[in-house]
Amino acid sequence: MEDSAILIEGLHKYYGKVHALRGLNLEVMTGEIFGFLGPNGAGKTTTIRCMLDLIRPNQGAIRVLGLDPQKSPQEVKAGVGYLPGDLKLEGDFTARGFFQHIRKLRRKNKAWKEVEDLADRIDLSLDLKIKTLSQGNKQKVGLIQALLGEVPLLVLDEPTLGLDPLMQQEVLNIIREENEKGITVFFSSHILSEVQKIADRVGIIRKGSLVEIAQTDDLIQRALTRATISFGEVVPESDFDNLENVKILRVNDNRHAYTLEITGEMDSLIKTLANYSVVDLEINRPSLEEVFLNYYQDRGKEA
Amino acid sequence: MFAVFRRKLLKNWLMILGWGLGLGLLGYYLFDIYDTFFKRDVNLQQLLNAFPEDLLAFFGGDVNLFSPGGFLHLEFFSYMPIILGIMVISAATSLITKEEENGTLELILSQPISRSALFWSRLAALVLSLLLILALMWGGLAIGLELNNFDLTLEALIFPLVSLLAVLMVFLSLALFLSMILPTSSSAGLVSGFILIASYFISSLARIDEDLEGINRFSPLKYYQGGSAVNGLDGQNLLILLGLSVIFIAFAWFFFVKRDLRFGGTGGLRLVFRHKD
Repeated sequence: MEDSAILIEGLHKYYGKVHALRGLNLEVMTGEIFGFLGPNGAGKTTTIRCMLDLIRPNQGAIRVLGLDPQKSPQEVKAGVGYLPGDLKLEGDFTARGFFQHIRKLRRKNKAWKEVEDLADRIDLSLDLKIKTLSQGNKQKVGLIQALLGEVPLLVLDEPTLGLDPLMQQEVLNIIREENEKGITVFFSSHILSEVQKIADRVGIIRKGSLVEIAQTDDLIQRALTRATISFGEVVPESDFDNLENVKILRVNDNRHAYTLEITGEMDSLIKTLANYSVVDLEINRPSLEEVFLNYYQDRGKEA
Repeated sequence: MFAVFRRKLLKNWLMILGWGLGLGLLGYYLFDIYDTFFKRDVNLQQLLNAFPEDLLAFFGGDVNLFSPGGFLHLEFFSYMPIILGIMVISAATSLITKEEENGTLELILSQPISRSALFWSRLAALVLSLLLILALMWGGLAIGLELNNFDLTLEALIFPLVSLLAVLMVFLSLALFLSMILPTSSSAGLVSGFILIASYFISSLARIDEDLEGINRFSPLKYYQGGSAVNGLDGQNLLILLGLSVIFIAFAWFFFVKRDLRFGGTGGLRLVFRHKD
């Protein structure tokens, strides 16, 4: 088995004069759930479309399941279940008719009973015309079609778009269950909390190139943590100034309360706190959303 | 791929029935009209002789209205390329590009089906739809022929339809090709429609203006026999039309396989010819 389910090297894509992908490098390991983050226009969907040979890169190499999508498009697509971000369905089908049509186009399919069970689970009626369905229900149709095949890789572009919070949770459960069967999941999302819930690793794309790739937990750990501490005595500022990874954000007039920003490990801070009487301690770990926003704000300033 | 072919054919069933039955019915009534002409004690030939030659030439050249072939041409087959031409242009520009534009093709092409398979399956379904329409037309003409006194065999009725099929294939393939290289399906329809109408006028006017003969050689309708084909098909004309169709279809296929899929208005010549920066 290949170690990399997806391997992208130096990918460039132009739309006319617009340089959409600028030397993108990315590796997704077999069996992991990989969250692909980035704001609108960053190049997420373009990357996915290049992976499926729907559009062709101007430069660079792609391997999906060990194959070049341009040389072996059918083999690549036979191994991928894909949910487009901008999902458009033929309205004159019923969901049942649509799934049956897609099953005829695929080589290996899940048993029909599994499809019906999935539809039941996410509360989708199979016998209504797609054109009569709400946006959320159309998204469910798109999701189930991505899961129709017996595939080793799922590529899901905004899988929970338009779904209510309960259904979003159910879809995340389904994705996790598919992953537990050994299926690699590559998904993009704007809802960072859901990426944080299920992704093993995340990649952040900005203006067509990958600016960060890390374990989800590591990324959050590496980010700034905020601590608000109240002491039962006066604590000199110099105690915190001397700590390498700690920065004082705020201190009250009598030096009984501090708000600190900590980067990385908290060991040195905890040891310092042990020298004093601590009345209250509140630590705020940033969500992936805050990490993401910080990342963009920082890089934006650099730019 | 049969599933794609079947799906496209099923989507076309209303078009097949509507056009086929409608034109079949028109064909059937033609023979009633023909009978009426001869039952009336009117010297139509004398009436026709009163028209300026140029006008008559424009509407069918030197055809004899009182011959089966001339009657069929003037009353039916002379304008069929325009009527059915508009239909095939619309169908051909929608064959692939319209679904690219509305976004539904992305999901289909993300399945393990090659672009070539999609292209040829859909094209085969469209050509079969056109054949079925022509078969229904033939059916209408054949019933009219059987019920009326007309000096023509059922087999001879097939020849004008073959000539019609050949010229329609040119416009179908041209529209398909243009839909692959022009930014939108509607622009391809517009250009193809313009070429169809221009071709009709050039071929008609070339009968009365020799100066147009040079440009007329490039008009597909010059090689269209129409009703006069009841007397036998011109193999050379047929080959020219079918050869043109094959060339346009080959180019359309080539561009579809080589270019990027269009998404939400991203179509354009830049995507057809790979951008180099």
